[in-house]
Amino acid sequence: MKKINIIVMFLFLILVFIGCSNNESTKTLTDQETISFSWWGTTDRNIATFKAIELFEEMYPQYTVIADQSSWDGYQTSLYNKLERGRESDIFQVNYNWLYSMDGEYYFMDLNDLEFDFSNWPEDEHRPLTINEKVLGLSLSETGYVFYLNWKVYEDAGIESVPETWEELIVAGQRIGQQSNGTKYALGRLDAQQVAILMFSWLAQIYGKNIISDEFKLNYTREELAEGFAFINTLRSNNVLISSNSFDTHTVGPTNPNWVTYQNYGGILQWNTAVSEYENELPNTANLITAGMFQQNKGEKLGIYKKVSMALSVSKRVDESESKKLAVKTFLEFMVSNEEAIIALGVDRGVPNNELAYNVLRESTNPVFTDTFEWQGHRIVQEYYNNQVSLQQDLYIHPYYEHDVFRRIYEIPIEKFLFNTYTANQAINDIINNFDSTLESVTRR
Amino acid sequence: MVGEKKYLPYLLLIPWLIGFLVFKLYPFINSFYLSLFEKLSPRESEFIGFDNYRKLFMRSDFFGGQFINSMKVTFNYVFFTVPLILIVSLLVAYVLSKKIKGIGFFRTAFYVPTVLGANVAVVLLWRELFESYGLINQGLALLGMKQINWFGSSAGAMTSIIALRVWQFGSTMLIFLAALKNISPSLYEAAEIDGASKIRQFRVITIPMLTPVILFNGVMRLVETFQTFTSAKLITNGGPLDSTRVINLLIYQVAFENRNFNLGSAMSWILFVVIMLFTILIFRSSKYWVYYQD
Repeated sequence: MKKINIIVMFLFLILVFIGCSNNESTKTLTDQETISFSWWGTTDRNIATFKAIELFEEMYPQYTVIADQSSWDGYQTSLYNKLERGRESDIFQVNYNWLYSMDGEYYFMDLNDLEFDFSNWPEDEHRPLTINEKVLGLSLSETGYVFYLNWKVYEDAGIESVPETWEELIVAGQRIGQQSNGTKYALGRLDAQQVAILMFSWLAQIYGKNIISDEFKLNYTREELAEGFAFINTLRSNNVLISSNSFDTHTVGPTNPNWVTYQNYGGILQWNTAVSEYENELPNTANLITAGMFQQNKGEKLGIYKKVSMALSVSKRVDESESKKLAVKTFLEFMVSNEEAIIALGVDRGVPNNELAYNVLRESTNPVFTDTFEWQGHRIVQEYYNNQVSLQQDLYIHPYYEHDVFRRIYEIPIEKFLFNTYTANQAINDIINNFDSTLESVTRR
Repeated sequence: MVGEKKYLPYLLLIPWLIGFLVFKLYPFINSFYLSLFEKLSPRESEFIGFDNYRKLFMRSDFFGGQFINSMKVTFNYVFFTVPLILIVSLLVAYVLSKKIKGIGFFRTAFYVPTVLGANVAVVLLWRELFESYGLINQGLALLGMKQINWFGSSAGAMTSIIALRVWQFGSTMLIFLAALKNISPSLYEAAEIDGASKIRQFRVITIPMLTPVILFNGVMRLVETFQTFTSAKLITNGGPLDSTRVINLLIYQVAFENRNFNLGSAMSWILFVVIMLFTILIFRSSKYWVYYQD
């Protein structure tokens, strides 16, 4: 009996050995890989991403993607926590400035190590995503602040042509105010961040400067800031902006009833990649149009600050496994180069700046992407930006401008100014007193 | 068997003990340790002693300015909320201690807000109620009163989050109710024979007899309101103009959103000391105003 047992065991071991030494089955076993991917987004983006993942898994059945979708609220905090505990997804969506605020060099993998082919992107595209020669994120799109108007508000006031200059916008505001007994506005309520960028765009059109200098200092003088605040006051006293933000107590953003239900607000200043949130809330009676950036003088194309909208980063853990690296590289390449995936993803993460994807979307007839507000905004941002570069004005959103702590240095005084609890002088004092020192402390970390 | 019985209570205590050590004592001690360091990089920290604490009391420092403002906001919140909860819950308990028809229903109805708690749904509902076109303003308009810009002004926003907390007076009320039931009726009978009015009875009998419970409720509510978070986070997120950025909200933002656990820990410890000082102060003062029957 014992002999039989030994013989059976021996035969079994031989069979297992033969089975394991079969080349084909070894290949299948090692190629199997599971990768995780996390992102934030609204419903449209989530549906599009799941569709693209489905296509990827069909084409590469050896790979499984664990999708981790969440809303914007809390995503950043959660990612921070996961990174510190080594629990982040293999691939995760980031805002480009997080590379700096989240110690990206420490936590994110250098995409050069994936031997990723960046030839489809403009040469400078990954410069903001590169720290110490390490490419820490794959750029998905670029974005800039653009004015979009609810044309119905303007039409109701008898305005016939879209304002191009600030002067025309102010005249439109006066007209809208007169026609509506002061209840409607050419723009309406903007928050501190939007007013800040409006003011800095207006100043850039005059002085051609970035907000933060190359020496990491505030690039504007007290007198120049005073001009900017005076201009905001002009907008507030001419029915372009509401005279005090304390008069509107609704939730700030796309669901504000003054934008949606009552249509008291005639416009927004928004990243061109985020306009769909506002567009989707508007009822059929509204008529959204792209107005671009208002100018000092007709025909000029200045004052656009742009940045990489978002990027995909890879966990440093991925570097530990060759098969995982291959899977991650395959997935990233698929998302930015497979035609079906490109169409599925559309412009939900902005208009892609990689040439291949851009051309696929431009040529697409079903659906037509070039008619979207994202596309129109993107076109304006690129057109203005190229014009600025030709005039030696390289305006861009500095990686620390939107830093969680630093941004409060200018947002708090501007918010107080908008609520009329601060004069322009008080706001300017606060900004000047804290700007450089706080910027230094956040960049030192 | 005797040995088993001897160890059984300790065995039964183990789950609680593990929870206490892991989730209370360790974070408590570790937070103090963290507060003495400054993070230089993800894996490198520098010992700076009490420098984080020093910074928090400097208005010129960005976080110091925020911290001082948040402490002011928190004191403001606590000093309005605690007395209001005590007054409202005592008055309602007093009414509910009387023999009224349908008293069971009223007791349940007044306790319901406490059961609901300051959870997300209730807080969001509260926000809707106080919106410009919300039910509260509609009610004011119906009464011909001027509508209030609740979230547009510092005072309005603070009022709305205080109102939410005061609305949840149920548990305080229940404790008062139990204490009221324990006051001997003979005291009231004697007072009535002496010709004391109801108000005088309430002032000279009810209040003194309730002082031990007022002390208990006062301390409990004080500790709890100093640590308020949910309503400030979800209704106003600290705004407008930082007028409702209570200290716990600031600690959360500094520690979890800005990833500065060192400074967040220092803030937590200052909050802990402040709560402790107030608690000691109240207990010390109790010998002058709390009446113990025995």
